This record gives sequence, C-alpha cells and structure tokens, in this order.
Amino acid sequence: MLALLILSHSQDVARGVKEICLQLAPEDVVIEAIGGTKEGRLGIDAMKVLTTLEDLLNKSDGVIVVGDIGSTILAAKNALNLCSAPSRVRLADSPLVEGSIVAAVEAHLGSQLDEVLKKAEEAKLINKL
Amino acid sequence: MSANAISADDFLKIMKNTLEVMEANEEYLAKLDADIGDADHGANMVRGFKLVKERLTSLENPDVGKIFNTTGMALMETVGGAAGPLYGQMFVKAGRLAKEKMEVKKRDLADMWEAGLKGVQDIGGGATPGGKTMVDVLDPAVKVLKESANNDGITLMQTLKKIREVAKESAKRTIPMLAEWGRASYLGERSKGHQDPGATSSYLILRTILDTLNGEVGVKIAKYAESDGGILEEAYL
Repeated sequence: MLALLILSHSQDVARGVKEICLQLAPEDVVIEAIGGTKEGRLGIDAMKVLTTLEDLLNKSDGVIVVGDIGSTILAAKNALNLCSAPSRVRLADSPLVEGSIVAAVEAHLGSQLDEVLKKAEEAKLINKL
Repeated sequence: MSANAISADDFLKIMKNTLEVMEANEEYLAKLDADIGDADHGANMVRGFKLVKERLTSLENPDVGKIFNTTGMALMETVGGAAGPLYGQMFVKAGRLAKEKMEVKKRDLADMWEAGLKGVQDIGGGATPGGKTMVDVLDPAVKVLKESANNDGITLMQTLKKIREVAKESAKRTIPMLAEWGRASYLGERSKGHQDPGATSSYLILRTILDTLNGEVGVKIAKYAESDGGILEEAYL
C-alpha cells in the first residue's frame, strides 16, 4: 500500500485537499495533510513534515509527496534528505490539488510508486476547457 | 575552551547567544527582508532560536552532535518560512558528523559545515554563490575552514577571525546581486541594491561562534545604510 502526503502553506487548503482525495480514494491508500505553522499561521512546520514522512514510511510501501509552493517544497526536500528511507519517497512536481487527487486515485487503484508519480506529474498538463 | 577545539559547553553558549543576537538584530533583519521579501526573517529567526534555547536547556548529556541536531530540529519546527528547512538541514547534517563528540577541531568543523552547506544546496535547488542567498556566505566560510584544516600554521581562533571577515564581506557582496532564488527572485532587477537577509543571518550566526569564544555575546548592527542595508557600524551586546 502507498501513502500520500499533502503539504500546503494553509491548514485549510491542506485539510480541504485531503477531504477531496479521501472521497475519491477512501481506502487502500494512507493520506496525510499538513498545512500552516505550529501556531496556525501561513507557512509550514518542517519538523512535522519530517516526522509524518517517517510515520508514513512505517505504514506504507512508499510515499508520494505533493506541495504547493516555496517553503513547502523546501520542507519536503528537507524531509526527503533526512528521512530513513529516501528510496521509497517521491516528490511530485505537480499542482497541489490536481496532483494530489490523481496520486490518491492511482495509489487507490494499486499502481506502483513510480507510476503514481508519473500520473501525478502529468496532472499539470490536464486541459480543463 | 582549549585553544584548538570548541567544546559542547561552548556550543551550548553559542546557540544561546545566537538568540540574543537575533533579538538584537530582529528589526534590522526585518528591514532587509521587507526590501526584497516578506519582512518576517527577523521574527522567524528569533522564534526559532527561542525554541532552540528551550530545547537545549532540557537536553540531557549534550554532545556536539546532539546540540546541532536539537538546534536544527527546533528551527525546522518553528521558523515557518524557507529559513526553517534550510537552517534545519544545515545544523542536522553538520551534527551527524559530530555524534558523541564532546569537542570539535578545525578538521571536524570543516567537514561539518561542508556537509551542512551541501544539504542546503541539495534542498535549495542547487543554489550556488552569486544567487543572493545564504550560500553566498556559507560557501566562502566553508572554503576558509577547509583551507585552514589542512594548514597546521593557522590556529582555530585565526580561522574563526578569517571567517568573520570573509562572511561579513560576502554578505555585503550580495547587495548588487540579482536574486535567483526564493521570493526575492520574483522582483527580478528590483532585487538588486539590497543586502540579502539570509546571507546576513548566516554572517551573524557564524561570527557569534568567535564572539562567544572571546567571552562576548555577539553584536548588534548599530548603524546601516538606509538605501541598501549595508552594515556601517556594529556594537557588542
């Protein structure tokens, strides 16, 4: 089973994206979302990102991480660089909402880690109109 | 402190003094960040080093590795902006090379800061000197450390003095640079003409090592150029 880690500057955005993902992928994938700083301001708690990533690595075969911009990406790279099993982690270069949804659905369908990554990254090419 | 090594006790003092230095320079760092960023670097660094101090106070049997690891983790947890993961990465990576060491010498410091810098560059998208970031100060400081590690004729204190000079000069050299990374890069040409806040906090962190070993707390930037934030006068706390 794979896991998805959603990172946003905003706690509300993180929670909301997780909610959508859970509706489309209610089982067979572990989904966690982190948003905002420890004090609830806009930003990211990079330590929580690292500890949550470790926790997800323990619970799953591999973790896909999707972040919004700037320091969430730095926090994701920081965690990847310090965690115990970087070979089972993939950072997706994709828009947060669309990338997370695609990753959740692909993981839910039982795809392998690199396939989930590929599909999540293709999300930036989705035409909506 | 012995003349050729920095002890775990010294590092406890250095980290605590760094909080005082960040508090004294909070407004200055905020001004630099207001010019090309979001004005929160001063407050972020103060919040970060407050937790560092708190965590170090309750740290049991501190060795250099534990002190660096605890410092990095606390910065990751509280700084919030880009500086949290970047400085967090620097201290944690450096600390992994000082596990169970009760003191470190020139060679250890060179290896530690080289690993810390590499971590910063890894997660920062490969930032190299010239891009108006903390790497502009850390890279030349690591070069000084590496040169002196291989030269028995240079003492630890001479090395740290050289780092102070080079780091200050390097922070100043970010003024005309075009920002290539982070929020400042959105400003394009308008990022020129301002000293980089991350390079400046890196200078303050590095020089506080020397200041602490010399029995001082550290410095406050007492006067700076309004136009570009360049340092004009420093005063010991």
